[in-house]
Amino acid sequence: MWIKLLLMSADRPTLWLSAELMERVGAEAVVCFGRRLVRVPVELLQQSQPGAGVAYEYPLEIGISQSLASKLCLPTHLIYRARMAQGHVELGPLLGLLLGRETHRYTPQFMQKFTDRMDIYKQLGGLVCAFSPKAIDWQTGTAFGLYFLPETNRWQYSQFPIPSAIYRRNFHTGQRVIRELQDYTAGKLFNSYRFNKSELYDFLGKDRKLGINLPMWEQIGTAEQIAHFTRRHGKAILKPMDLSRGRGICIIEASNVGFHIEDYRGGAPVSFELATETDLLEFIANNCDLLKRYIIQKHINLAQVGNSRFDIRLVMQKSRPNNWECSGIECRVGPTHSLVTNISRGGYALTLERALALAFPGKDNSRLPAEINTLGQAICVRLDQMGEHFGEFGIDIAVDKSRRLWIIEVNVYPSFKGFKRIDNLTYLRIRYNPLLYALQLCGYDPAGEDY
Amino acid sequence: MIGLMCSDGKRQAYVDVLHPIFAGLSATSKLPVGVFTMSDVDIEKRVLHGVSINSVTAREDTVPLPAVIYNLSVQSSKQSIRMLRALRQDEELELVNPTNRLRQQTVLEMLSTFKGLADHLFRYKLNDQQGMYTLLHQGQNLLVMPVKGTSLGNLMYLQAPSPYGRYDPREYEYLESQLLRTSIRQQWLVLQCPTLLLSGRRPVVIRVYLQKGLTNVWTVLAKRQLFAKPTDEEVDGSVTSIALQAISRLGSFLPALGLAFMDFVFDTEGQAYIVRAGGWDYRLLRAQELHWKLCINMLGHASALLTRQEVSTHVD
Repeated sequence: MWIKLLLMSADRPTLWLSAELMERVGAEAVVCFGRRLVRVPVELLQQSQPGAGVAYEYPLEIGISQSLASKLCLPTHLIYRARMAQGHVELGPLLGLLLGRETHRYTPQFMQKFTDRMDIYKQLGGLVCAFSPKAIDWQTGTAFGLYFLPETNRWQYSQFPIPSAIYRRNFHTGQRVIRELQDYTAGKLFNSYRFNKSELYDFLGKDRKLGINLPMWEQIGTAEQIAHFTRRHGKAILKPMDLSRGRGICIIEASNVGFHIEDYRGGAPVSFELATETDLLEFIANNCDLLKRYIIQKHINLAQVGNSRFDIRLVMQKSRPNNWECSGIECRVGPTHSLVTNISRGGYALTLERALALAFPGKDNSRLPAEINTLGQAICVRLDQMGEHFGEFGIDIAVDKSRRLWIIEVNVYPSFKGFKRIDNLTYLRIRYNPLLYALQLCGYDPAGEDY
Repeated sequence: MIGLMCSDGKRQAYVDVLHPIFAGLSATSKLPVGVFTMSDVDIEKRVLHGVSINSVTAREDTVPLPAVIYNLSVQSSKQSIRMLRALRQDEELELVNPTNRLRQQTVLEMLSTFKGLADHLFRYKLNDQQGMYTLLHQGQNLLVMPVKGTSLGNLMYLQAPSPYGRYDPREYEYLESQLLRTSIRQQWLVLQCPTLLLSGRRPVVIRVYLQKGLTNVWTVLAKRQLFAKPTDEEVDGSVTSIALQAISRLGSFLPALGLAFMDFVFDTEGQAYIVRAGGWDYRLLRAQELHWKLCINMLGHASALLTRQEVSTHVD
């Protein structure tokens, strides 16, 4: 039921309900907003609004005293959803975006980049807020941050209860606070953990079916290991365990005349030709960061669109608990002759159908999209077994020249910018979905009916 | 160890001032202190090469990054801002005062969420250069400052002229020269104020220095009258409790703040108004009489952070 609050005067915390609702709730009720609870007397609101409460645009009015609103930390000018039962009134939803540690940066101006997500505010209702884990006051169960004002499309500073469902948007927070918030929200914080590449491949590799879609890989320990791995597989890619978007990678190819290196660790790629394995070991010794938190992986001979390699970004999001859906697929085509496909390095995006048609002309590619989706689903189901709460993944899948699928990477905090260029509606849907999932976690149906 | 990060080129000045104090305190606090600049930090190796102070000596040393670092610096180069950001995001250390230059509009927005301060805040709005010229023709009291920066000359006041009169030409010209010096897109914060208490031609400003101590609770370190003759006790006295309420609210939104200042102006009835706030003010380095208290509080606060004795500083 959609409700609007009328501020009424009383000398103690009080709630006013219509005769019909009062019959359902009784003369006394516990009113809750997040985990804040206040027991109040319920009085009769002398108003009749037939049919009200069925939509955001036509909310039912209920009365609330200022003291009750203050105790609940409840802004009174928003439209809320409410659930009522004998002795119980719950106002919501209370949805939170968990930001990072840099509290001074989180201003109304900073929050403007989240505002396009709020196009669906009328589906959500209630309080949508953003806060830093550093600005939590555990004693009062509140946080200091910003909340969305639908009437002005802006964000405003305030104090509010710790949200009931939390969408983690930043990974510079210690796991201790994340665990505390998970406990506090009864597991309704999602994207609770960001694994590194080594943890990811290790975990997926233990699944027999997914293991066959993983390129051979090892965590790097020594320079000799890199040389040996490269000799064995012909071409290898070295990736930093904790970075994404192609940052810090280095590709080594062994041949009869030595080793060819494409080094992407700086801005533009730099090539080296090394005659012997001794030269390679010396190169690694001079670039010892390659031995620290790096993995080495067999290089996949990616399918090409013209002279450009491409991979596939699959956006998987939860629509409700335990239900993963593919929200979007795009192909990222790298710059001509480049060994990496990241759009940030000068590539461009294509639809999957277009990329497959260009890469495999004259072949029947009709089964590949379904296979890609099935692989994406299997990865999500497997990662849910990690014991963490995930709400979205950006899965990078490669197709090699024989049309075999390979798992390249899974990002917990994916970027969707390619979609903005090729399909803005999909881009926006991807932006909306986490909030709709948070709403589901609070027990509200995006369609408007509570369940 | 606790670290004190100062601006480039200032390390020795800080060591000269703080060494005698920390040397005296180190016997009881048992917390060694390292003074360094951003260029002394090697984030990758998690070490810094600075001046380590103990009860006897102050000597250059390479030490691990301290778990608590007080940022007493203002960083301006791209590289050092990037490094400061890395320190802010580092989960293994507490950076006190991650920034010392606050955006004043943000400060006022945060403070205005506390109804208890409503009588001590002016209404404000942002204006660009064009908007400022429009305002100058409306003949109102104008208290103007740039959105960023809290230097004393930045706070400009034009008292409303009598009907058909003009602003004081010297003040008008000063404000106009400031406007012309900056880009047309520069934003100015305009506070709608009543007639202010003046000392000569400038408003009386009291700066209150605040600091967190052993219990992680804010205390007043000192009050200073800036470019003004001494005001009467009553006016001066009212700011303490307002400053504590205000910093408590501001500190709830900016919990990493540990050292701050707040500037007050007064109307002709003696009512105090908060006009701006900032983090560390280097002027404190010259206030010798405050150093002992400043250092005791720093060590106490650092101990509280190290032992994670989180005490709520919330005031409702």
